[in-house]
Amino acid sequence: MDRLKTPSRSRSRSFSADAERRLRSFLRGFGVEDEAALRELVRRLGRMAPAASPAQIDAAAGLWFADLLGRPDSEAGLALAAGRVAWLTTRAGKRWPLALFADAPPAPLAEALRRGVPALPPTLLADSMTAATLAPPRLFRPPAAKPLRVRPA
Amino acid sequence: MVHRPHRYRAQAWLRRGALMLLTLATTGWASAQLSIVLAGNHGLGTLEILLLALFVGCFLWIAFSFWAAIAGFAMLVARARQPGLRQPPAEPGRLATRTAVVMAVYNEDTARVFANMQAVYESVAATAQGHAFDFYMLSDTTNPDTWVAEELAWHALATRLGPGARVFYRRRRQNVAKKSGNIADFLKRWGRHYDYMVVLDADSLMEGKTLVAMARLMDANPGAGLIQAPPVCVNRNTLFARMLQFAGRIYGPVFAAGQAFWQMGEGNYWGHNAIIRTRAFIEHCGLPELPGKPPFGGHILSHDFVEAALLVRGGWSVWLVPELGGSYEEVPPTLLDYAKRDHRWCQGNLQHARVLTARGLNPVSRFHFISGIMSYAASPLWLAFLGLGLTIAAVNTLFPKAYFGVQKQLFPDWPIFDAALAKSLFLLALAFLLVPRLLGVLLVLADGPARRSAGGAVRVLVGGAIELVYSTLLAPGMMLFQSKFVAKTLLGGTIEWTAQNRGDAGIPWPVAFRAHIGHMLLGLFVGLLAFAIDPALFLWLSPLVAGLVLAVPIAQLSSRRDLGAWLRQRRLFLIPEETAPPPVLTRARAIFAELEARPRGDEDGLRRVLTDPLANAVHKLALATAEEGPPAESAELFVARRKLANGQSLSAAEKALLLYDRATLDSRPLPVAA
Repeated sequence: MDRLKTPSRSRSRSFSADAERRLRSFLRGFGVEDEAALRELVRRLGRMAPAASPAQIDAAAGLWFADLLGRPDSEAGLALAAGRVAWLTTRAGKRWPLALFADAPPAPLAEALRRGVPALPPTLLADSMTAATLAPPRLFRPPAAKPLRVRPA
Repeated sequence: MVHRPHRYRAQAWLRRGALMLLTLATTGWASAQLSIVLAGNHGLGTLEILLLALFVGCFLWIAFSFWAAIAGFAMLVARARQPGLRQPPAEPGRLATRTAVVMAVYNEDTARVFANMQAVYESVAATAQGHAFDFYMLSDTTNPDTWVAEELAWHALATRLGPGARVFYRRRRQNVAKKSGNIADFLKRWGRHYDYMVVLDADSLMEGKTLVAMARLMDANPGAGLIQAPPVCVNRNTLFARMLQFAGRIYGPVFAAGQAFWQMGEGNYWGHNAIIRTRAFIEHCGLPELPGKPPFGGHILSHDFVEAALLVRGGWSVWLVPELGGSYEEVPPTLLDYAKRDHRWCQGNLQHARVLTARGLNPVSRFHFISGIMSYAASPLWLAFLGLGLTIAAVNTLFPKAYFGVQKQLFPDWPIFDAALAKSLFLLALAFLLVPRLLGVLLVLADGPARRSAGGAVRVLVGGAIELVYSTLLAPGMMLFQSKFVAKTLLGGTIEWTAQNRGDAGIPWPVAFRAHIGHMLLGLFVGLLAFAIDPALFLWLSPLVAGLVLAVPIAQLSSRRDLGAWLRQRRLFLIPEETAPPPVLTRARAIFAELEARPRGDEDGLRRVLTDPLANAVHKLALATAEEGPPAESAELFVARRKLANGQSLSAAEKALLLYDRATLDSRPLPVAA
């Protein structure tokens, strides 16, 4: 069970209204709707991403999930996307409401998320396929038009 | 580049030579007989020579098909395996090679395709060789609601299959070059992670043991580029589809074995239910865009024939292996759906005229192209043959030959018509068409389990007889349809490649009437004309006339599911896959029923992604795994965002644009469109 049972009631004043709105919006995407939990998680996520820019929030959250899912080398965006699916699939928000972005998440949460994350395809190779030539031999080709003779100036 | 000497080649050419000799000999003989019939005692005129030329063109194909079927029958009786294809060891171990099973979908019924994929996945897992297979749902879906439904179905499937299930989903942003472009996109992204790929269509099903056997065959034959498992048609319930399934199951094996007999390692690709060596495909099968406008220019539509030809040109062998079994597909449920598919295939096959002369192709590959073209071009040839025959008969009636010429002569010039010879020629053509079917029936009757599972000897014979009458009545209508498709394509017309109807919905009477009114009128005209010329001629043409005049009821009644079910209750048109369904079919049906019974949720894909956090998360994960970035800022995107914010209705293209738009996807809480 989550060891953070008593969320702080103090509202962080270090964020602009816009940043707070972004953080809250991000957290709602994890199914967090309870106001007390939201306040605590805003504070916690705010520590991880002080500028609270979308890119910073994603990167910080991605690193947290990459670590939790045992894929430290994963690209942060992919880890965040996979971790969020696993979080919502396993209803982790109900079972461990305040474990999201915790410094030391409970082991059962990590285990549940690892089991809940869908397998990801292998790395993209960005290979190429050269178009085959289907031109007929010269015999079957229509004669090319003769270039116009350039009139000397 | 030849990777390994193909030792079967001498034998293959011997087989092809023998078939060609028999085909030419019988066509030559039949043409000679016809020339005698046509010449009478006045010799051959221009019309008669034209008629004879058309006859030669048409007869060549039925003669070749006949002799190939005879060879196929002999191979089946002898239980001969494909020579030249090395069999894997009797007790093979764990598969060391990796195979991707890819299913290409385009606006299909989501529940059905994911049920099929799950059934195949579980079937492979049951072989204990699941470690060697990954599964990809490759979507080219353009409908944004279906797109989101597919993503959620993928996530649900991965959840059902449990942790570590290697089932992946990828949607292309733009479906360039349709299915071939979809597969090429997969190969560019992930192809070289795998030794082989198995291509499945949305309605394809394959047994796990068949997939494993195919991978082992590829392992045992390093020179093989592609192995095709001919699919058996299953799962449909309308009368039309059940007769098609029955015909395919009873007669299909003879024709498939016949093709395998002469093709050997220079076989063809049917577009799905085949295993392909990815390296060979990546190196040789990049398809160019043909110069010029569609239907002959542009992207290659019927890509499978071309890909097989390119593999063979690259030094790889391509095999049809009928004995593999465990390979299934579905047929169109009604005559009109069948005709619609035929129109697409016709356009694709006629486009092959542009690649027929491509440099370096194997002659057998060129023959495949010609054969594909002829499978549609034969219809206008037959139509011309019939039309010309009628014209000659009409001319002879209207302008009878003079019994006495200008010069004085003692005896009149009696018109000579060798009725006996004409009849024997007709019987020969009939035999060429019917004997392969009879051989198929014979094989089933001789095989106890197959006979019993098809309803017993009497029902196989009765079913065969009804199917024969039905296909005879159907043939004139199909000849007209195909002639129209050929003409339309030659005149530059194109057809949209839409998703195939895979349900069992019938054809309403007005639709059948609109589709076949022309056929009916033509049938009446031909019937009256033939009767006016000679009642005997009318009798000869009566199957054709009946097929055309009855086209509307034939199309409507055969599209009915209740008639199909009624006949099934009476154990008619049964196929072994219905009496003893293979596990993969049973499982796919059960999963589909289960999925259909579940509540569907919001069917508006965009709204679902914007209001349901899990749907949003799954959608973003699908985009992230395919590395699909956001769209560039554009006027269209701006308008779509404004419309969404104002609760205005959005077009499918706007919804698709927003489904890629990071700003929209991240905007929580979300403005929801009305």
